[in-house]
Amino acid sequence: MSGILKRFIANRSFRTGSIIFCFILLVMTIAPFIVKMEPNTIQYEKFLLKPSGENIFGTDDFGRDLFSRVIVGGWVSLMIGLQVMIGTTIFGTIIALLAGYFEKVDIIIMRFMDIMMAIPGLILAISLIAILRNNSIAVSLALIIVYTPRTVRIVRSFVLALKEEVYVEAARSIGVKTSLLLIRHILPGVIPTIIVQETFLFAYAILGEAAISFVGIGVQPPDPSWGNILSDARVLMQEAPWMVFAPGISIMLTVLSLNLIGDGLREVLDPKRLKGGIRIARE
Amino acid sequence: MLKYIIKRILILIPTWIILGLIVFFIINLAPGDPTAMLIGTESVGNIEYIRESLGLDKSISERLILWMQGLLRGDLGDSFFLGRSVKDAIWERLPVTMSLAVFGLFFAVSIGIPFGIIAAIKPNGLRDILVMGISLIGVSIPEFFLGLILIFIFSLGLHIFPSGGYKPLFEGFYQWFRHMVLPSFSIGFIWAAYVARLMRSSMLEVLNQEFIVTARAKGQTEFIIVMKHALRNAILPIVTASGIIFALTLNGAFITEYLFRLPGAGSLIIAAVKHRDYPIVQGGLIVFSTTILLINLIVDILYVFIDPRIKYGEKS
Repeated sequence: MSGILKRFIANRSFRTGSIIFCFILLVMTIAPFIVKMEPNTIQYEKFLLKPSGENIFGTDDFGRDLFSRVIVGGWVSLMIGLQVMIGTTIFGTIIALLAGYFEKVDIIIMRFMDIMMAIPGLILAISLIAILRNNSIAVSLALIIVYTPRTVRIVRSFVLALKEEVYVEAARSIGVKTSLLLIRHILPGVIPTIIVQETFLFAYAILGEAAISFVGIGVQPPDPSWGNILSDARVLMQEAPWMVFAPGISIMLTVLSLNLIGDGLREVLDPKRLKGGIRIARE
Repeated sequence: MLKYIIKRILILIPTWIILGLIVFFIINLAPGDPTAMLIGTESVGNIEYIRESLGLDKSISERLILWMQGLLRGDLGDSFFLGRSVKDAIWERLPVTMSLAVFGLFFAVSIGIPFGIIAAIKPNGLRDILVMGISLIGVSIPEFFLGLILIFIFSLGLHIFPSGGYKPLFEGFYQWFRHMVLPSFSIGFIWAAYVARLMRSSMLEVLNQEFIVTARAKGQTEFIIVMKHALRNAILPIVTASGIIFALTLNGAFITEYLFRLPGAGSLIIAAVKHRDYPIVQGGLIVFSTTILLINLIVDILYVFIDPRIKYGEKS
């Protein structure tokens, strides 16, 4: 165990990414204990103040403290990302195991997944949100529906490859039950792939939420999220550029750190096989 | 090969019908009554009348049949709010979205491929680290944040490009072009970063193969090796991915349209979602998904010509 941990730490991408991500989490956790969080307190006398000692990220057009909004909104964005990651892991893995192992359902499931993937993700997500009502759970659900087929496609290709392995053949020949075979012998083999894929998916989900809230459909004001703060900032670009940079850089750094972690994980967790897998997944 | 192409085209028909069904069910499982939204607090009698005129009094199965019949005729129904047909509304705005996506794809490929090659020539060299570093930022930045930065620099700061709005092409190429540069670049840059990474890894893989070693042993210059021998093979994954990249630039086009206030189909659909103008949303989903299915078809067919190694037999 310590061997693999050492290999992770030795990997430059993983190390850099983890440091940035932990830093962001640390700031977001500690900040509420140091500065009083007032994301929704309107103070008109503080209208569009530049960053200063009192309001380190400045204030917005309602005089609300931007630092509080970015921290509180950041938790909203991260939680949506986390929910999407968990949701796609569960559904994606189950569907991929079934499709990859049982040839009869494979065609039906994969056809359906292909069609779902032909619908532009963002438009599908906002249409689903319109139907499911505008709140953060709807955003998570919509993104889970959009991203599950993408997870299925990648994980399934590994299940297909593992199914042909000699050890699986051996287990089957001594009469191991199919359910046990899937859970005990095939699932552990796809876990590295899932870990790598879901790290990237966490990043995509944060970008997705930001885009949806940016166009005014996801998380609704006055509740902040990184996307909807940027949406408010859009029209005030000239007067208050700080409103754009605080949430924008937060999204970028978070996504960047997750991408680095994902790259590192991919390099450490058996690079050769994963590379082959990506080639399979593309076809 | 011809058999494969015909089969590939024929598969599109059932796929498209199922797509139509999926889109219908996504929209029509919606709770809430759009008629109530449409007329607000007016009398009940009026609600009944409007519901009838919009066809919402029919049962879901009747509506499904009407939708599928319309779809096969190319009729997508009428908008609740715009007082015109969905097809016209989308068709009129489609050129803006498409040109954004095509421009974005152009930027993505024309920036991404050369930089990916430069990075792959000397892995872990200075240029590689630089290109990979910038591309990492590219894959991590949301397109609308990049767009806002570009507006900040090029329109509010330097006054070179407008911060938004649109001029139709027939009113003059130059004005049209000026309005399209920033939006399409903010989409293109992000996918250029992705293309550069893909190109680099694919090029590295090819450069390690034996035929390249042979070419080197024969004393061929590095330039010829990369451009003549390696490029043709290394570009295949980009061709395969170009369908996906186009779909993703299309996705990006919807957001940049909103950001730059361009009158495209994306901003139409976003507005329709906000007003619950379901026919427009339904039509938009169909139009763009069909576009992506067609692009994928073209990519698959192109692939047959580009990569003769692949044998297209019974297995698909």
